[in-house]
Amino acid sequence: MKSILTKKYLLLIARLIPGVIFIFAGMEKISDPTSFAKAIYDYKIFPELLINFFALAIPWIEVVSGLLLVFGIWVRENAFILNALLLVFIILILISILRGLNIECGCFGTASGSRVGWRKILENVALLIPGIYLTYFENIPLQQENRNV
Amino acid sequence: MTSLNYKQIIVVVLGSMCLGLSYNYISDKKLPVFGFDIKKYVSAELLKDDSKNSSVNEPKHISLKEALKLYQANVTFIDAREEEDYQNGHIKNAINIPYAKLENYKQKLIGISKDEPLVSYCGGSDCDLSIMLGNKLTSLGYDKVFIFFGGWNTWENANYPVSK
Repeated sequence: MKSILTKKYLLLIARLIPGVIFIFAGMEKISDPTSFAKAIYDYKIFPELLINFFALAIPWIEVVSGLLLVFGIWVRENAFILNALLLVFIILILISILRGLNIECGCFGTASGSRVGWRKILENVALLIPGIYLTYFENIPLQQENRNV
Repeated sequence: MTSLNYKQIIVVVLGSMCLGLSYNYISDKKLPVFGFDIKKYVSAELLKDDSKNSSVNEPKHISLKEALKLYQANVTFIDAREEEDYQNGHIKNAINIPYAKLENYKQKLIGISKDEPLVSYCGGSDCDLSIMLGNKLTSLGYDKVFIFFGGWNTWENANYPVSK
């Protein structure tokens, strides 16, 4: 009984942490799409044609997926989507570090003013963990929870 | 381990994209869906700083650093000096419209749309052709005119890209 309860809290935390972080990160970008577009442009990796499209679409994926995760809807799938985004971000930051670009990360829009660097990679990798747990290691409690919804 | 439901993933991703594009459509910070105009972004950033204290239709004076930003964004630079000075050396990719012979050179402005940012410059602190040309451009309807008063001398001293 006790272990089920512990698992339940663990599961809740694994949903809430990435969920809430992505909701805020996404909203920050939605509030200033131009700055986010500039942040994407600065990575100097995407064709100009697609930059605005990414800037308009990605924040909404973050917010919607984050909300669904927080509310426990399609948990595994949304955890997977957010992890896929994180993986892309990690690769982009890594490339920028290797290319020696000193640019704004754009992670939380540009308001936070944080720059790309190893610290950002570490943050993103840490954020992968709850998602991996939800997507690949958790089966039964999820189903129980779905039944409760 | 159960497998992922890929249909749900597609629904969430495509649904979010549609939401994003719809929101953009009604938003007051609307962006064109495709493309990104770095020139407009950089010039808007520079104009934003003092949009409160100066009237909109007045060329803005910019520093060397700001000029470099615009240069890197491929903004058109206009050399207001005589053709001879221009031939002797100018900012790389700049076009030449000598203020004194503006009427003869006006055709160079054809094809530059009025909302394009433009930077006017001349020799440096001992010349004011850049200011006169800048004012003229504004009166012709260009609404993002910058005057790089430091001009050629400052640019050359900083070892920024030139054509000779």
